[in-house]
Amino acid sequence: MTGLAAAVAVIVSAWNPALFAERSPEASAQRRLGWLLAAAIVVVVTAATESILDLLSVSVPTFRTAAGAVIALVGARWLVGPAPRWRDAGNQLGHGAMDVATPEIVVAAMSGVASDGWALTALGVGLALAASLGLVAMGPTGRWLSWLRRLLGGSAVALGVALIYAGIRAV
Amino acid sequence: MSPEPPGRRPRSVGRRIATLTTAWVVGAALLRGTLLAPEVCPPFTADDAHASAVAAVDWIVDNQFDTGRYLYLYNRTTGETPPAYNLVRHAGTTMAVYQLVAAGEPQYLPAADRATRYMLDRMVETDPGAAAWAEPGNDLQLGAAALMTLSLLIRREATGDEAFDDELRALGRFMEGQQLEDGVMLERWTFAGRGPDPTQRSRYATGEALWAFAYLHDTFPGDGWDDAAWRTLDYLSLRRDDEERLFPNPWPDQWAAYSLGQMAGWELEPHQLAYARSLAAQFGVQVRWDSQRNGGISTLAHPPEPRGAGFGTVLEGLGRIGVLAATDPRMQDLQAPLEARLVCGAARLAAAQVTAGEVVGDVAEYEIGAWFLNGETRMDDQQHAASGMLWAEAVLRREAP
Repeated sequence: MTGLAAAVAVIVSAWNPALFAERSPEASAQRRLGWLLAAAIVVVVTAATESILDLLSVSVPTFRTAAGAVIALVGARWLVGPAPRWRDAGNQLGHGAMDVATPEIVVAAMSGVASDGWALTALGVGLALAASLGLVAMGPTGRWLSWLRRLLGGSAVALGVALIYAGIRAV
Repeated sequence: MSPEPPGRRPRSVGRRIATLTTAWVVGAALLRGTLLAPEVCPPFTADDAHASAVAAVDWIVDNQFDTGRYLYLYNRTTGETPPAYNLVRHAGTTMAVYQLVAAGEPQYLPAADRATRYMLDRMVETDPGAAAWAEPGNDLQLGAAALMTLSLLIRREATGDEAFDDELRALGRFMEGQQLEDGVMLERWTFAGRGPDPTQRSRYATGEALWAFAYLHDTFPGDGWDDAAWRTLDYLSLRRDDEERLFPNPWPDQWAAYSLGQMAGWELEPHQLAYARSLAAQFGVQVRWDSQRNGGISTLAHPPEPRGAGFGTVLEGLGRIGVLAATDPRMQDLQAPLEARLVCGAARLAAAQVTAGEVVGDVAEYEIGAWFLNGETRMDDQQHAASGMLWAEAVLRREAP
């Protein structure tokens, strides 16, 4: 569970760009700015992953196991759960930031930094953000988008389990 | 702008902040109590590790009988010392005492030699030039022979005394007779059949025999014991866990780890190193898991409480694969994490050892230096823990400024 493909796949799956597009099919410029700012903050904060893990007295494999559990659980919800039922009213910048500041995205990014380094993780976050913007730009895609969300949810489950396994099978 | 899908309810930023904050707080609390509980490793020095090993071997030696046998079991709840005994563990415990002799404590040599005499007096010839040992009338066990071999080899290395070289070669030939062509080791030699019992294998004895073959080769390089070692190492690294249906896979076999450490300079094959990596992970995760047991929910979430013998074998495994990692450049990436887990595990194990200040009354010799689980201690609790402590000491001495 290391390397470019794995790092990007974990972050994109945990981010789930299809979910972003489903939540806000007509994402305003403010919302997209919220995504961008929050993604930048995640990338900056996760640069301190090693210090954070030291502070928590937790080793990298142990964190990877916990991150895998979070990602798999959230992925399962996307895989089998309903489409987003909320219409986000009010400040779209704030909603955009909260789309990104979720436990699954943050732990996926931290796990990526711990295993594959900051640069690959930043690349993964960038690709996930770009995919979200691309899907929104494509306009409403109906059931196709819903199935893509489920597919990425399934991917998050599989990669979460793989992360758990990798954490257990490390010294 | 596309219209909102019908039926969606409005959600304010404030409500969303509340939901997200709840997810973070509840999720973090749950994780912190379980999977992300802090890994606690008490401060620990080389002297601490040595003192713990000495205290453990003191328990073994203080409770040794004049015959050379050790006290096998003590129950502090009932005060009983049941008469049970295990010959394989007798040989293994003797090996641990010799390890301490080799670590600079020669005063334990007479006790270890008494235990060795107990084994020597019970040796029987199985074929010309081949011998093993057992209680009279009992079948011979591979594990007992292998651990006797290792005891004598460590003794030889510690003292320079070559008095038992004939016995070593006889034990080696007995073990060779228990080996099949594909590296499988058979556990028993029966007097009824005058040969190995083809139906019995042992998850412990195979690795013990492998280490003995490897150590014999390093001691007597011209004798050809390495052929037997390679065959059984391949069996362990490629097929044993599947054929013998062991779980988890790979089974965390510290005897295999000892063997890999012994063979560190033998230019191991990639599949053998892959096996070593898998073993290292099995041992490492056990220390990480235990280090998260620190009272309250974290203890409930990280069962079971290990016994001294079980956790000691984990330390032995970490120590010996650590030797391989320090020797073979292809394994070098594992050296630091292996050593970190070894020292952490040793520190935690030492904290659970009974010390003089904790004992009241006339049971000191049964308790000081021991590890208890459910009120009971067994001689191999002290054996494996002492051996593990010595590997931690070696790492800590090397790291000391």
